[in-house]
Amino acid sequence: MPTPFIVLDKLDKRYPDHHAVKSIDLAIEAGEFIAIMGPSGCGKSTMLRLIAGLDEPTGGDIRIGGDSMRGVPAFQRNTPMVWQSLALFPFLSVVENVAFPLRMQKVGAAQRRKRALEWLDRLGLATMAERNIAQLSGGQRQRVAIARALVTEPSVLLLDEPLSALDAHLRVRMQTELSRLHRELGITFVYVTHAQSEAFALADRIVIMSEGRIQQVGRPQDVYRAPANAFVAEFMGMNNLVRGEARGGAEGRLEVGSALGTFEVPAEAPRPAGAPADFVIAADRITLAPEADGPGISGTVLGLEFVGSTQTVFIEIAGGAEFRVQKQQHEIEALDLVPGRRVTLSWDPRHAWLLPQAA
Amino acid sequence: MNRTLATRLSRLAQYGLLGALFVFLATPMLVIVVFSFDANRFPTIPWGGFSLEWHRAILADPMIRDAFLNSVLVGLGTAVLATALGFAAAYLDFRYRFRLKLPFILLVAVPPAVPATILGMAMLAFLSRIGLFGRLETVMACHVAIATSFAMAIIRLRLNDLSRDLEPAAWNLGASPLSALIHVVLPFCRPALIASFFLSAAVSFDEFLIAWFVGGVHETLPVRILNLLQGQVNPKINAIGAVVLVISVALVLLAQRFTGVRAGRRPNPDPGE
Repeated sequence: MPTPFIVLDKLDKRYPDHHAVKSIDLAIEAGEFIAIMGPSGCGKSTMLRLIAGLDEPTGGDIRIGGDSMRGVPAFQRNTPMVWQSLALFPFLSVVENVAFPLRMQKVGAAQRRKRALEWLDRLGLATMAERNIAQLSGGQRQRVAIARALVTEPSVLLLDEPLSALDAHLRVRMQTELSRLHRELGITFVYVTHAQSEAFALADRIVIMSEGRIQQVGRPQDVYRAPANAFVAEFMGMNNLVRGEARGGAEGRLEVGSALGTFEVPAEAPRPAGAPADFVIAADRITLAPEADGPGISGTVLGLEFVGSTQTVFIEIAGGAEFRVQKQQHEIEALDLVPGRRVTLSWDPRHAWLLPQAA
Repeated sequence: MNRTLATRLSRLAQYGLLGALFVFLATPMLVIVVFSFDANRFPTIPWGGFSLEWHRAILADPMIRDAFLNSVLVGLGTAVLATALGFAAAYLDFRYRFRLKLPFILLVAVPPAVPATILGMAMLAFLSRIGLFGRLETVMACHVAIATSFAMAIIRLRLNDLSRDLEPAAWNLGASPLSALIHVVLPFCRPALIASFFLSAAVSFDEFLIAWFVGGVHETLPVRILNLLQGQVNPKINAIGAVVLVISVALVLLAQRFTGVRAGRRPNPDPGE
């Protein structure tokens, strides 16, 4: 197992009015692309600022490459960041912006210009070098910010929602670019975002945060298919949560009684009868059929939402619960799913995911 | 009534009013400039012919030359100090949060609001008590107190446009706090600093009352003018007036050129938003 490159050790940040980061432990491997996700105010940006030294932790420690960062000011850390606002210097030209970190390192004028131009070339901005920042498009500015952060060849790059200001089309292109850079450079990327699509497309591992705590750390598919708790399941969006209690069951299976009926779900360990047993079923794993056509739970179609190649169908179940089901266009047409249509939902019990019991 | 006619009449009245206002403001100054080139000893109509006699006379007058030099020295000193202090106050306001910040800012902002007579008398009483009365540095110090307030206002306006992320971004990229100040904050504020410099110089160059109260034997140009006026009707006054006018207007125009508040356009549109 490789030694972790960045270690957060009981990292804590308390502001006068709120507790932003609550005793977080996290080990980030060298060369890893890690995405930190969570709703706004969950502490993900604060965590990044703490790593960069832009904020002082109120407890715990950060180690980068084995060295404690306690008392090390931001400008001595070499943890460049790509800011959400980009924070480019408006009074400097493109090439001067990129050369800025080298100037701070007292690299000679000719040398720093040469290195800045190399990075601009690498990001396809060679012809823009002498321009004003104001003359660039959003995507070009984004590249300048990335070039400026990478020009000192750091071993870690911090990114704070770097693509949120771009339109959807550009965002996808920049994702590809970031992914390529990460592959080529082999350095650690710590990427804060609230966009699931970016995190899933880019990251080796995902950290889900809420209210200053880490809720789950894992590969994208694990976080998606096997959420650690109800918060993660709901944050992932395309999961349906069923709350219930254990009723017993056989080897590797648990019977769960809920307001919607009794379900069988895979379980690694038995649970005593009456213990809480909540499970999730992903929106793309639900089968829809005309009502009363076989076993399952019935519901009424509330509406549909177009998401591209698929649509999300919102279905109201007895008791007021709402289910989301993802379906291809042709399936929706075959079933004639219009609001008000009664349908039966069912799923392969093996696809249900039992949430671990809260500690 | 015809609507276009009404619009046209209203437009005409507006321009008329504006024109009258400018004439009213500019005529006295224009008169001074015109008569400074008049060959007659007393400013009377008809004009006595074009002459540079009075301009030459002020150049030859050692007291006027000294007063002019004093004004330049005090003006330059005030410009440098007020700009530096104004920047310091504005930056303090921008970067830090502290208790009593509002009283602090008010304290810097208030001197121009105090009537100059009162300020002058207070300064006179205070400075003579501590033995600093009647020195050129004293005049400068008083002018700095007034001009700093304008300098801070101009620089604060500029700092308001400085993205909160820019300085931390510089630290993040390896700049020490001092480097960030020198390489990021100061260049960003440069137009405002230049504007403050010229405006402070203009404030000092034009200021009469306080210079008169605390300057003692060290006369600045406005004080010299008054003393000339008190003596006799001297045609040199018109020539001095013309020179002072040109310098003051030039300073204010230069300041204006850099404040970036010209009507209709902003010189530095924020590209991010």
